[in-house]
Amino acid sequence: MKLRKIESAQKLNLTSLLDMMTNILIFLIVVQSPEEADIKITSKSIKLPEAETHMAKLPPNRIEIDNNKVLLNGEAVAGLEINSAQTWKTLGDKLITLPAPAHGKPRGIVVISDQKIPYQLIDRAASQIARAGFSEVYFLSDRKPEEGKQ
Amino acid sequence: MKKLARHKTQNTETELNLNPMMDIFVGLVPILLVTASFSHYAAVQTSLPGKEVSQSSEKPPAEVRLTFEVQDQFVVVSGFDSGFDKPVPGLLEKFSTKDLVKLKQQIEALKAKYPKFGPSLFFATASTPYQTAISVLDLIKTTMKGSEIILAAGVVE
Repeated sequence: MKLRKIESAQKLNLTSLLDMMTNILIFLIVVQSPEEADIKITSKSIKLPEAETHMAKLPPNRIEIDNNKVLLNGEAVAGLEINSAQTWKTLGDKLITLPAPAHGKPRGIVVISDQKIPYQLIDRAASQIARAGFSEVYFLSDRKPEEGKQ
Repeated sequence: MKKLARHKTQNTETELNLNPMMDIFVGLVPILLVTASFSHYAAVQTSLPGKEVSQSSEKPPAEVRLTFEVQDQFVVVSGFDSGFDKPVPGLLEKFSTKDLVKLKQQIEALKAKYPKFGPSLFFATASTPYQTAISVLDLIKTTMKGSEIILAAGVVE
């Protein structure tokens, strides 16, 4: 009798731990969004603008525009001075070399930029994107919280 | 005493072995934690002028194409015919970027008035903050559901 008592006392009660794990698991499954996890912003200083539009399936190429640098797919565009119109052509030339999407799909690119930069920089990038033959631009934003949830 | 001991043994026999389930959960939780994204993104989609936009004369004359010009503090909305040649009389209005509700109301009123909209044109002045441009673009996109928005690129200097 004594031995049995000791045995049962030594056994861990996993039920509460399992309850907790189940809750964590459900929470993680609900918040998980693989599409959004694919987006990686290289520039840590970028604070995205806010928008309500829902997430679309985004193309793989992306341009990051900060106050003093431009990155194409995570790599800084060499020799690019943000205020020189001539050097923006370097970006355009690099964009032209990017591989075309599968047949029938529109050529799109994601623009990631800080909410405070002047629109002039976006316009310069957009004109180079258009020159490179891209037909769609996606402006990445932070999703604005819904009014009821604020 | 003997009966009680037998009863206790039966109880322990029916207990579920939760260890394999725990093992799975302990494995799943770190995987989901690593792959989960806690920041929620949105993406405002626009088209670029290179894309062909049909401009056939067969389209009904009721089709209106809007232009949205963001000028720092204001948004100027104007309406044109299908070729962006002739302005639609009486369709030229200015709205404050601080109060975009009025712009939304105007777009909704235009939607009710004109049954068919062609692609809209969007552009902003050089000094317009990116956030302002995106707010206006987002509002147009959400209000004019399904309508194409063309970004006028290379016009700002």
